[in-house]
Amino acid sequence: MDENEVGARGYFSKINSRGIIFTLDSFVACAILLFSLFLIFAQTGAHAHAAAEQAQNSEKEFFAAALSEAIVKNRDDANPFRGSAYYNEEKKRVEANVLDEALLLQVSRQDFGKYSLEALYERDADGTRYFFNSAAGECIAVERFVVMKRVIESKTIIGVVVCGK
Amino acid sequence: MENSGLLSIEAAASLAVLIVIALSLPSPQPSGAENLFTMQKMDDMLIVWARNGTGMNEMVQDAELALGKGNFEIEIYGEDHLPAEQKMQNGKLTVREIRVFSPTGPRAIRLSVAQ
Repeated sequence: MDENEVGARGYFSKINSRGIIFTLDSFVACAILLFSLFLIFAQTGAHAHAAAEQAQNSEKEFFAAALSEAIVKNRDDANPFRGSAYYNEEKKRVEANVLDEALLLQVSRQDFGKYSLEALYERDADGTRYFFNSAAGECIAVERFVVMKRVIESKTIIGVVVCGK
Repeated sequence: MENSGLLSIEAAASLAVLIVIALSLPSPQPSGAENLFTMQKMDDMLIVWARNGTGMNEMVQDAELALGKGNFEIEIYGEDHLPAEQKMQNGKLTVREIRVFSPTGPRAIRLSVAQ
């Protein structure tokens, strides 16, 4: 066989003479193709797994976001976990993002079925202080920036910790 | 088919396909709730700042506590330079704005956060 022979006939003749496995080009192309397929399947699998996990987690995150929104915007004296905002007697209205510390201290662990309120904390430049904490397992914390109404009112961050699968 | 290079046309094409596939594979997106949490915090800060008449230095301290250092920008506009209202999420930048009507005249506080 002439080594310089070109064209399909020469190419296949060369493969036949060496065997397809030992044709370096074909072997490299084949390996790359198989690796590509492996990469696609592995990446698609990992992506689908992550998406499923994220969808499951999103429900909990949105629940925690809604619960934190209720706590900082509303006021419910009987159930402070539904709202602990400060009631301004002068203005005759509840002030959003201003929390009544006395009411917030009454909040305790709450079970909502699938999810539960397991901890409530305050974070500022001096550190983190828990109002209560029974968090364990798969939990997420949503932090809100508020004014805390106490003897001396102060700006602080409130963390609402929701747990559950 | 003869090829004087390292790889033949077929192998080079396969390699190119591999690179294109690797580049076009979807990358995991950040959860939508992360953005929601950030926007909630931004709105909280603007509400508190508007209520208290907070100064710029204090705003920066608050934002550093809530959002971390260096990934935010605060702009305050006076009555003469009120910009068009902007509340958006454009790519990797989230912008929230509040208008404050005080006895000294209206002003706008704009908070931008890089995600």
